[in-house]
Amino acid sequence: MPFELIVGAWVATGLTLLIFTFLYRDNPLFKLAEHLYVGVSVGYIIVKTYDTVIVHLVVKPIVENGEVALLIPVAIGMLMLARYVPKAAWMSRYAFALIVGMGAGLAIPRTISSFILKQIEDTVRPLLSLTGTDGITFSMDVLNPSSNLNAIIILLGVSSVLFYFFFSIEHSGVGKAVARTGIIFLMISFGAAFGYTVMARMSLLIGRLTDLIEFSDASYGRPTIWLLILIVGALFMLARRRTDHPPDSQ
Amino acid sequence: MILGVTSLFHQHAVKIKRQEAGWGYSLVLYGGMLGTIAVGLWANGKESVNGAMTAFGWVYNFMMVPLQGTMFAILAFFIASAAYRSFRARSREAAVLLVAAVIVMMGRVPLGEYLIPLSGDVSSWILNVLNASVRRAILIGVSLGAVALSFKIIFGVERSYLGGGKE
Amino acid sequence: MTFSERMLQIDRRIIFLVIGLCTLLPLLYPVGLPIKITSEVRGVYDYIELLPEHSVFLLSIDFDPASKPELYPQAIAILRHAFRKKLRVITMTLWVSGTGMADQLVTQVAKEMEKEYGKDYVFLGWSPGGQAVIINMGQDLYSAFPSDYGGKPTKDLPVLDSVRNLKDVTYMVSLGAGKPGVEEWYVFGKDKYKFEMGGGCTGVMAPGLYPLLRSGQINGLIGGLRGAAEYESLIGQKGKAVAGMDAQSATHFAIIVLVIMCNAFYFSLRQQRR
Repeated sequence: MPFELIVGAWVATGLTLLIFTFLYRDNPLFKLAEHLYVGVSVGYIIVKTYDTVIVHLVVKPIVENGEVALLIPVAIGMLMLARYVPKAAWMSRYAFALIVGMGAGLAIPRTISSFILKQIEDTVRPLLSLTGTDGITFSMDVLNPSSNLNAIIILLGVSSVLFYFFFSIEHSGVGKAVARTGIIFLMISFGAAFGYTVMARMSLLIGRLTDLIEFSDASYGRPTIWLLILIVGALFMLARRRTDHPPDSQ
Repeated sequence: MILGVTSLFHQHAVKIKRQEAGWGYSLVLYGGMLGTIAVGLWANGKESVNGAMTAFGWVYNFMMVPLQGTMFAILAFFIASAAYRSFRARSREAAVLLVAAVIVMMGRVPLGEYLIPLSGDVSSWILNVLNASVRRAILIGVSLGAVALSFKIIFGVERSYLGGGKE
Repeated sequence: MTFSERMLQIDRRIIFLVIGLCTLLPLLYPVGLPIKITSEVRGVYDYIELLPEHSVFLLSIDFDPASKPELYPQAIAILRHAFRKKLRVITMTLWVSGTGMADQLVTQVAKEMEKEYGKDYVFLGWSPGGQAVIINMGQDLYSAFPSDYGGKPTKDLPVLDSVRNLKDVTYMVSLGAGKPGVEEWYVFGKDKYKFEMGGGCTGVMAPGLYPLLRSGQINGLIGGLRGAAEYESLIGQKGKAVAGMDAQSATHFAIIVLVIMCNAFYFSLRQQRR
């Protein structure tokens, strides 16, 4: 195995374990890794932005292909930096106005089409299906999301939740019943969202532990095992130094 | 982005200069950042050249990827602890939420579908019908708000994005 | 202090330990329970399966290392499928911090499937602007990406032959961990330039994308590690996602047990207080 991969495995394992020490308690080892994380990430983003934006999208096309027109967006972008000079800060407003205005202009037609019209269109689907020349059917299959029964449930859900959101007056009579239905629908959806959030978080943990298991292999020199012993030892030493707050028994 | 980076630069530079508590960590932050920028510029901003990893790629793969990944992975432990501490059926609504969450958690893993085959179908129905209708209502509501805001911006009613407020 | 009270105030590190063990043990000693395929994932798989050879397939890898465990296996499985179907594969990312990962991913799968860079696939890299990049690609792909990730001019690449903009893309999948991601690709891409598209996303985002799935705005949705495991099973090449499913089962059950326990203690405490 190449030397840089072995060193990489040791570094990656060490950093992973340092972050995990936070589960025991906040400690200097975690803080070290945390600050390193911020530093490396910011450094990475600076390099990528410089290389992609300045080198490949601006300098190269202008110098190599003579695309001088690119200087116009560059100039508008530079206006934003005027924000840092108090006297010239007003100039940055033109750049912001242009960008925000463009965003607003783009958002109106696209949002109406994608999220309002298309979503309403799918909600008011025919509640009965026509089959053949003169037959009308109503499919009751709960498990098929596009059955007529589910179309009615979706219509009920969408309208009751929208009612609950938009009519924030005190509900009474029929209004109260509709708003209550909306709340029940909302709670079920929040429950589903919670279930999926748990799923996602556990997947991330599984991913990290899979890497740690991979790096406990002999071909890497078993960094997971050695570094785990080392870090537990370090935590123990740190705990002993904290004489004013003795560590918990776990 | 520039705003965030400059304030980060400034905040930690002050800490190092005044040797405030924890200035060593700020030094680590600076070291990590400058080191990454140096190897990044050396490698022309490329993580690999013709399939071979550069030093910049090494920093990315063996430092940034595990650090960022683990930062988010520890949330798994905290969501478990939060579930134990605060996920209680205090009211009828909370009970509905709890039951829906348990069904979805069961129905989306092989063991749940194996033990109670119906749980997979029920959680599919919850997601595709009940959840979809709520999310649709939210999407329509939020979109109406976004369109209204866009019109306000275009007609100059909403100008707070320009900053200040002084004309 | 009663037993219930003591149990409700248990040290959280005990819960951490339980979750840690429930993840670690199944990874070390897998059982391999069968994975059921949902219609959401099948939507993406079936569409790629029916595409004719040399169709233009665009994969946007819109995530960074924070979501790697969920979306990386999805990307590997889809790329393997696309390469196997001999599609012309265009890959890119809208997330700057995911660039290195996307590059590594594409290179690794292409090498495994013996595909040639420039002829069978291309990695365009990252371009700033999020939705603006999508709009730009819709008008002219070569002005959004004048050069590929390695700095080669995109105009000369055979894989992009007769591809001018997004209208020439047959199928597109965005694997998104947030914004920009699946929604932006639909709103600023598909809705205007009319290509077919599917989505993949993290578990946190999946419930929010069901309205788009129901209305047919996306034709399939791969949600989280579970979705990746289904896709791996569909292409018959099991990988990290399938391997993680036993641990996923164990942790879900651990959480369910914790929730039941906490409620049992809570109600017994409430009864005592009455």
